[in-house]
Amino acid sequence: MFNSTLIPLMVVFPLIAAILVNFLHQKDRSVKTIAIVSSIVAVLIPLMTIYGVHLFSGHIRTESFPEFSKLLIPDVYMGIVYSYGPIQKILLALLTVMTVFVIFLSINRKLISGVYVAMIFISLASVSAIILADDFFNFFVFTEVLTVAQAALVIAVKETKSHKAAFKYMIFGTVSGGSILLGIALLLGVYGLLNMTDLSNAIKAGGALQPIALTAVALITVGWLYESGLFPFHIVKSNMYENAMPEAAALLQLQSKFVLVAMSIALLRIFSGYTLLKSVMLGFAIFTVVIGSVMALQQTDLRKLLSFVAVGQAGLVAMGIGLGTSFSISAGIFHAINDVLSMAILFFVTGFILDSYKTTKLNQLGEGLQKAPLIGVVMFLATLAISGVPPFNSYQSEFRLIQSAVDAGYAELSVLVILLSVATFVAVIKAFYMVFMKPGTNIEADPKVKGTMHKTIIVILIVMCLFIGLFPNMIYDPIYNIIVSLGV
Amino acid sequence: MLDKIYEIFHERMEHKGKGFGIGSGFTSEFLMFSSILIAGMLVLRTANSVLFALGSLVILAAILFTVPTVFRVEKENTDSINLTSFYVVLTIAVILIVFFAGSGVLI
Repeated sequence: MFNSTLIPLMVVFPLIAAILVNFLHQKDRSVKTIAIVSSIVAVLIPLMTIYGVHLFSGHIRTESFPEFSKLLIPDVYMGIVYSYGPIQKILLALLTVMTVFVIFLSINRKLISGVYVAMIFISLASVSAIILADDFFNFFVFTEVLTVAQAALVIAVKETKSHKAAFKYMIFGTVSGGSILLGIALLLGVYGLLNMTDLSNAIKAGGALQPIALTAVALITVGWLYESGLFPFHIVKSNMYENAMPEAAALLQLQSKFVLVAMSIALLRIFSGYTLLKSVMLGFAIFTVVIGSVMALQQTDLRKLLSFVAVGQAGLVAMGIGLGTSFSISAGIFHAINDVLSMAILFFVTGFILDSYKTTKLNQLGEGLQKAPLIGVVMFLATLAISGVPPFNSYQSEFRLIQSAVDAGYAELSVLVILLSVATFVAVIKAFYMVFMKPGTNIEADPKVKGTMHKTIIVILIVMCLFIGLFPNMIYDPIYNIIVSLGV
Repeated sequence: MLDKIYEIFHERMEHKGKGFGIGSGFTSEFLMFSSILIAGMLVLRTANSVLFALGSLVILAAILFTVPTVFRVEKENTDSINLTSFYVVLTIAVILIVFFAGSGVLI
């Protein structure tokens, strides 16, 4: 494999940008310029980087580790390793593009300062590191950094309920962080390793998991639930989405889903022979997807409704991964990519509605189609996309999820996926009707809000949804090939 | 029975906005019930054990008596830190039990 020096730049560059904009706090023009230039450069780095691995400090893999070390495998990595392949490229390309969109949409808000943009860049660096890291401890460190950055993005809204949401997120973050760290420590104690590839080999060589290693799996699974926003952490996560600015919520839901994908692949690689883990993942995924959809149907506030839809869709991604076949895992990852696009459109539309009407309460809104026809049409198309209606992208991934559930011998789950798609459609189309078609409203739209940037970005995103829907193999095939080669 | 359920929904969801609130309430109730039924079928088919079969039937019967269930689900899914803490602790316990028992360490 090629030892690419550009790979760590995907983490280091956003961190440098974060330090710069933080240093220039309140110098708005400089912050804007650096933010725009840096975010565009951040998009280019994953596109220019060649697939390969990066060995930090040049520590190469040892050929023969001394026997007295009692390690179960003779050759191990001696330093932190980042690996970059097609899945990482797709995820990072989408992550950086969406970060650019969020920076463009957030740049003119009053809450914008150097610190706010710095937190966006830190969260970008953290998710990039989580996607790239082949080292479990490095992975953990960046999940913690991500938690702090996400909480800061919500706190920046400066409302009491957003402070509460971030506080709760941090409290449960300590539970999750502690669980993951303790799990890693136990694995280090048993196997003496932190590199995921080495750990996977050592666990395979060691036979059945010892009780202490089982405790480690359980603790790391708790961390996985938190990072992914699955039950019982779905409330904390949806609360974060609801109380962040809608543009930031679009980024937060994307980050959570990509962390879900990265952490699931890591867990399935390390404990590949442990089938019970997949069953537990599947159980929590089903629970989350049902609760998320039921709660979404109950909401009367657009932001809260979309927050629960986002949580429910994360459950659908986890369901694909939990089914545990190469086909279903690939379908799950593909759905994560498709879903973040459709959800981002819906959150960006919410951002426009919040700017125009200063509220997102459904019973106060109405007649929006006359005031913003383009936004309304795109929201309707995004509703179709997120519900899995052809020819949009989510149709391709949900169809694969249904097919993989049947192939895996769980035909009941395919019925559940269809039911949940219908529920998602009902929840979001209700919101669409209430905002854009319901006659009679007592709130006037702010005529100063033109929303040109919002309109441009959502049109780009819906075209992306349609393009992936028409040519799904461009994204799906590389994912499937890598998942098969990983043997998870 | 449907009339009675409609009355309950009407009474509890009036503040959520006339027809739409009740409609989505009914949809979520239907979704909840179907999901539980499907989950029960899945457990019965895959677990292939008398204990699981009896357990599933008892849970299904208990849920039938709690219709409409969505209000309970909504009550249990508020952003209260106490409730979330309770479910987090419960989840940690369940995961540990499942992993230990499923791997033959406990049983």
